[in-house]
Amino acid sequence: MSTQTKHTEEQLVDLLKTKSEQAFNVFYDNYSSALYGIILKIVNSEEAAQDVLQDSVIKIWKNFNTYDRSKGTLFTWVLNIARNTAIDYNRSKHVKHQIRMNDELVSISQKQSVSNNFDYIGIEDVILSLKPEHQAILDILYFKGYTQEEASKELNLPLGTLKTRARTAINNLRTLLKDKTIE
Amino acid sequence: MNNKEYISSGILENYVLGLTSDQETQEVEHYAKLYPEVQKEIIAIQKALNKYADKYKQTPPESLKQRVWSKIQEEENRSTEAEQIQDVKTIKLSKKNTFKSYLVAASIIGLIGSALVNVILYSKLKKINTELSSLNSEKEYFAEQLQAQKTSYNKLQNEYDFVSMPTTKSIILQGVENFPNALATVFFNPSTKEVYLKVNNLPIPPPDKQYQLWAIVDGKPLDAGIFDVNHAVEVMQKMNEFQTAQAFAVTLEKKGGSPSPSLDAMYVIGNV
Repeated sequence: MSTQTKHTEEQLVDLLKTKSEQAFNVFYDNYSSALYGIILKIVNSEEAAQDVLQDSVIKIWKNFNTYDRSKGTLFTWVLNIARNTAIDYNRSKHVKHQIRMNDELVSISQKQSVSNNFDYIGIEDVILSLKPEHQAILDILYFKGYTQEEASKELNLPLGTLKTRARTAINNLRTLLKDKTIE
Repeated sequence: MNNKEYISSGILENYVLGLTSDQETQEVEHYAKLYPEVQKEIIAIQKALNKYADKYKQTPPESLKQRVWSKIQEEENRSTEAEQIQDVKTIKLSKKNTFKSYLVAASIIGLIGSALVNVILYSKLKKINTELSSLNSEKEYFAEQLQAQKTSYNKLQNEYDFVSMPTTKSIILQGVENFPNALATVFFNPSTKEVYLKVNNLPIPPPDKQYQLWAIVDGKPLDAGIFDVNHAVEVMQKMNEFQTAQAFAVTLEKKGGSPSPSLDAMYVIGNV
């Protein structure tokens, strides 16, 4: 994450336990843009995305005591909650769980990067230099929370290829991040 | 498989992306608990993906922040209010019952009630304890099953790794004239010296006899180990190690093996 305020994730976890307004501010300033962007990709409507973000943050706030640091990063936990809330929203609205094609996703994100460039210089370049097929697989599995069967159908790939490609995608991403020495 | 191999096997990447089966997921979480380096790797993968999340980063409208915080406070107030209402009710009740007679009657009823509740609770507790112990034994059973599966999986994995090494040679041992249908395969790797045997087709020997594998080295047959063929579960058997060999052969010997082969009892042979 490129964060505006200089809090390590560990500090943020400790702060969140206090449930203070300051904790809320730091949490919201650090995570709301990333969560909002992902929710928006799932629900496809700004109004709905705002409601889902609100519900997600309330869930995170109420259930924070169930977060287990040893099982993964805070952001991964938070993202899971936001993603599931967004998917539940789609189901409850009978919105067809229809996913735009990957190249469309890429083009949207490129448009955004023009307008918000100052916000995250460097990381954006790294991410966009990842092969589109690798981006597509991460988008579907990580952001949209597809099961392996759904993803295999959506991308028209056999399960074995899907797993190998997912692994290569992560490894390439890690190499790219390391090369840019971005923390 | 050691930790390094486990980490580089790709299963952790698939785990983080939700591509593992329930059984694999349990296995990964088990390893992560046992080995800090596995846990560290999982977190490193998540961190890389978290950076990827910046791809869609988009700032929500400014007003939303205040709206969310108000909502949180509203929810918190509602839960404290509910507690307070509860308190008020309790106070009112106790004020009504100030008469002594009421108190005595109430405590007698209370005692009887509590005795009844105790009996019910005790029988429930007993039932739960029985259920718990049966669940525990089930859990142990599954843990044993899992362990057995893992052991056999690791063995298969090792054998597969060995067979698929480019330096491993596979030698087909064909049946000799007397036993034209007999067949066995030897996997031999001169650089690691390992020898594995796969029995494709050998008749089950009489109880006082056993098969023996021979490596022919510079024209001399050397003992490569005895083996059984009735091990339905064994896919391959590890035999004695050799650095060089020109051929392998199998003979039927007395139980426990012989120092030199009985050539008339040779079943299969194959050149390296």
